[in-house]
Amino acid sequence: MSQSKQEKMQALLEIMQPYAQDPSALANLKEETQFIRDLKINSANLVDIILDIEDKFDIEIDNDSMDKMMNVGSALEVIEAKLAAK
Amino acid sequence: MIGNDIVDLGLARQTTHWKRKTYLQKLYSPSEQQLILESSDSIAMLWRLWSMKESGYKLFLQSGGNPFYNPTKIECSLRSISDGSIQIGSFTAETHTCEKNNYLFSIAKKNLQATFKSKVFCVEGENPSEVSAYCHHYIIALISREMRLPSLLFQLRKSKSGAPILEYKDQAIETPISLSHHGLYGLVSYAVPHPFPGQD
Repeated sequence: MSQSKQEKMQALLEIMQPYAQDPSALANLKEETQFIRDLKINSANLVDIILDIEDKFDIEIDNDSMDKMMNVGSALEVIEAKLAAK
Repeated sequence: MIGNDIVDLGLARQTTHWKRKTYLQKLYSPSEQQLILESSDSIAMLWRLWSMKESGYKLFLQSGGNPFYNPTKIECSLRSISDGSIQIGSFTAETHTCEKNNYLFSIAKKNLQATFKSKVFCVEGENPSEVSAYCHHYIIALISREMRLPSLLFQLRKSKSGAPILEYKDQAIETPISLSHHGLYGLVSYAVPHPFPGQD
C-alpha cells in the first residue's frame, strides 16, 4: 500500500470514528471492511460520512460514485479517482 | 415478505445535519426535497421519507435485488400522510407509516391486502451486539408466547441478504419477518403462519 493510500485510510478512519458502532472492526480496518455490515454504521449516517469525505479531501462525490462506496476499498478508489480528476 | 424501518425522532433531531450543503440532494429527489422543505416539521418529514425508502429497500433485497447505496434511486410517492409507495427501477412496494411523539416507523409490502403485526419496543444494551441480542430475545419471546410454544426451540438468524429468518426446531419457518432498531426503539413486523409446521 502506498504511503498516500495509508494516509487516506487514516483520514477515512478518523471520519468514521464518531459513526462506527463497532470499535473492534474500526481497529482492524481493512479494504474489505463494509460500512454497514462490519462497522455497524447506521445507513442513515452514511451520507454524513460522504459529506465529511467531501470536506476533508475537497472533492465532490456524485450519487453514482456514492453508489459504489460499499466498503473501505471502494471508498478509497472513489476518493483517488476524484482527486486525480481535479 | 415485509420490510420495516423505525426512527427514534429524539435521536434523529440531535443528529440530523440536513442543512449541510448537498445533504438533501444526496438522499432525496427534487420532489421529495420540496416535501421536506415545505413541511412544518422538516426533520420528521425527512425521516418519514427515509423510513419509506429503507423499508422498501429491505423488501427489494429480500426479493433478490442487488445492494446499492444511492437513496435517490428509491423514489417515494405519498397518497396520504401515512400511505404511499416506493419505486426502485421496475420494483414497487406499498408503504404505511405511523408517527408517534418520539418515533416513527414504516412498513413496506408487495401486496396491499397482506396483513402484518408490528410491535414497537424499547431496546436495552450497551453496544450493538448486546442490542441485537436483546432484539432477537424479545422477538422470540413475543412470537413463542403468541404461538404457545417453548421459546427455547426458536432461533433467529440472518440470511445472506441480511433479512431475519425465524427457525423452529432448527428448521426455517416460511414467515415474513422484518426487524429494525434505532436509538431507544426496536420494531418487529411479522405474520404468524397457519398451520404452523411442527405444531401439534
